[in-house]
Amino acid sequence: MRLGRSLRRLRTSIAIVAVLLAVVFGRLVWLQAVGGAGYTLSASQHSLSDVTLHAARGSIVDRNGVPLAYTADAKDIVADPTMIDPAARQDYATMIAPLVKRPVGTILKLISTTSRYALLGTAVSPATAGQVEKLTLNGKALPGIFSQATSQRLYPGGTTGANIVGLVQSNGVGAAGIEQSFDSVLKGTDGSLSYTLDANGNINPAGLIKRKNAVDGGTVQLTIDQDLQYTVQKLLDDAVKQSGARDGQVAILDVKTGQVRALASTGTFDPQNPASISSGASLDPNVQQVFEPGSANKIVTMSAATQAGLINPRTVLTVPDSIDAGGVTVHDAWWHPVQKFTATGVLAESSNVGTLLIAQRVGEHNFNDYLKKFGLGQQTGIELPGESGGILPDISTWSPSTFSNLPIGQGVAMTSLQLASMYQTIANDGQRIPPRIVASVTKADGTVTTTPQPAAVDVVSAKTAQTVRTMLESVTLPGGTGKKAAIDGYRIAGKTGTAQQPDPKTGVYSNSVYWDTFAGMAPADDPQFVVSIMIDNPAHGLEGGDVAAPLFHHIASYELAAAKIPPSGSQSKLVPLTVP
Amino acid sequence: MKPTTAVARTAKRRLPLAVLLGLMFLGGLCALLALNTASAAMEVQQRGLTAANASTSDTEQQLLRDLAAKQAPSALAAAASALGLVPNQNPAFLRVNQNGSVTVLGSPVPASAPPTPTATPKPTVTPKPTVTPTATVTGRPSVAAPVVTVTVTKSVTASTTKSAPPASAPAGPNSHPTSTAPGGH
Repeated sequence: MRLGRSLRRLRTSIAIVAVLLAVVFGRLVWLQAVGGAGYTLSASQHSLSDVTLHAARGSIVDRNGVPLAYTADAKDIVADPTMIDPAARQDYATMIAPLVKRPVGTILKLISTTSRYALLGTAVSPATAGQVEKLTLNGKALPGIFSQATSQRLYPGGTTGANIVGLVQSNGVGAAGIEQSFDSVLKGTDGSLSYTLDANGNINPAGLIKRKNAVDGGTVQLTIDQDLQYTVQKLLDDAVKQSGARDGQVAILDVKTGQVRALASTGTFDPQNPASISSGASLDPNVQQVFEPGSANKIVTMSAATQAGLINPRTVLTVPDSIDAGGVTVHDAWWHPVQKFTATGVLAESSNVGTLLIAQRVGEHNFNDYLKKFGLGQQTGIELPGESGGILPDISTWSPSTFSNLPIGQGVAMTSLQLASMYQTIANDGQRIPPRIVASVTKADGTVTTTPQPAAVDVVSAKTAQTVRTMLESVTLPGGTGKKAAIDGYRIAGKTGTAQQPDPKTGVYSNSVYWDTFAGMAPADDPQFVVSIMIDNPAHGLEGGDVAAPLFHHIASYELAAAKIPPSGSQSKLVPLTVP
Repeated sequence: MKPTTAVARTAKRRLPLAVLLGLMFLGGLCALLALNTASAAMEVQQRGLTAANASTSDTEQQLLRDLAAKQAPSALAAAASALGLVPNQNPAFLRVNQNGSVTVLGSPVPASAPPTPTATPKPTVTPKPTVTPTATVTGRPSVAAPVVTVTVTKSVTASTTKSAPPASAPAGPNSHPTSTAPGGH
């Protein structure tokens, strides 16, 4: 009897197990055979997740490694308006608005919606985000206010070098300057992460995890010195303000390498605040805006004539007050009787007539060749966007008066960078090295690519360059037009310029609006750097020797001390400017 | 008697087995509990460390920002100016010769200090002659001391503010070319 009950229990248990197994088997058949494909697709869609791993944008640093632009972690301040008590909205707005630097009304409007998401502040600093997170109302943290990680492009120098560094658009793409021209290097390559999720939305360690790491952007090292850049911008701003000019530009090049040490222009913007950009203004005037250099262009004539052996510093020329050439009459800037100038005197006192007399010896075609050798009418190839090559009329289009204008720096236009490059040629013993502003690029893996120095262009011989430098020294000595550029203890060489600007109303050159220029080098006996300066329309009719030359003095004085360039102690070779 | 003895022996054998199974069950539960507790504790610790890491990272980022801002040239220039430093307009160097003598290279000139900011005190005295008592004071009479507010305004006559240079334009009609042809000089 006990045995019979046991058998019955056994059969019952087997039957139950069989039924359960049948149910399980049936379900398996259903899942695998009937609805398997649909479930597989649905499962893959719900369990797989893809995340973009954003590459950090690379930095831009100066020649000493000081960051000019870099990307830092930041926080977005966001809200879930549905979690905020309507009665407390005003308090929320009042507390949060000053921290995210937005109007109270804007914040109030954002948190007064029925949306579940409102972006209250974009890319605030971690410190600011911390302040927001610590806000309390009635002793409790603010519900509905959160912060989420993001990044921010920072420019710690502010306006210093902004014309070079440029800025990025809100989508992180370079919009100007190095940010634009080296965008492909700086932006890096985004990565991705694909993984499976469990029922709770967490990463399933046993599932598929596919990771492609992001490659951060490279670091672009510039040749500029941030301290020099700041100082030059400040001195230029002061000079423009004091002279009542419209604006100004300064370019500084290293003599031996042609590398840019500073490129400054007035009215520079703040990359952190795109609203500071004036509508229609050039973002980098030093390479995008051109001007007529005036007498600073006379080194082309002097170099060509010296190279050809047509003149030497003591060559005497009989110079009247004016000259008729090409159907126009050109005067000197001051009245004088017919006078015997040396070639040095022609340059030192900036005689237009004397220069044209020498240019006539050089000849149109030879002169035109030297204009091109000095780099006029062609881009330098610097790594900045939107570079202008200047304006140099083709010789086939020259009118009879063109050759009366070009030698004295009218009818030809150039950038301040091109003007500096011309003087770098003379400072570098006749070899022009096209300027560059990027020293190297360092990839995220540490690979450094140094910018190769461009091939030098032989313009004049070293002897000719030394001779022209001697003549240029006379400009800054007593009797010269650029004596305000002189620095006690040092030998300085340079040339002033004052060019008439075209008057768009009359279509001819204005007699009241000028470009004042100065380009020079220091020390003249062993040049280390060249500086070109343009001041646009200073008030009171001030000339290049009145505004640009003193600015050269200030800039060169700073750089000589900062770069630890001592004077050699040698004396300038004095050449008489006039002879009886 | 024998069957009774056999059943008792069987009962004696089953009792330790049940106890053993019970102990194993309890042991398993305790082990599971310990593992769960340890896992939870580790998770709490991980969250704490993650939060600390994020906080430290934020602090690092903030310090980097502060450092970059403070080493910006404009900030350094302002700090130098506040300390009374002025730019050197006459660079000069000292060269120590082999015999120990010193040669001055350049023409050093003492830098002229900018005008010292002068404080122009503008005291604004706002006496409050009477105080309206808000409570009945017994004993010592209340003394209504006047409140004196002194406002000190620093009048900084910036050294960079210079008057525009005099119009030293070349005098005379021949200062600039008067022909239709332009003339640089």
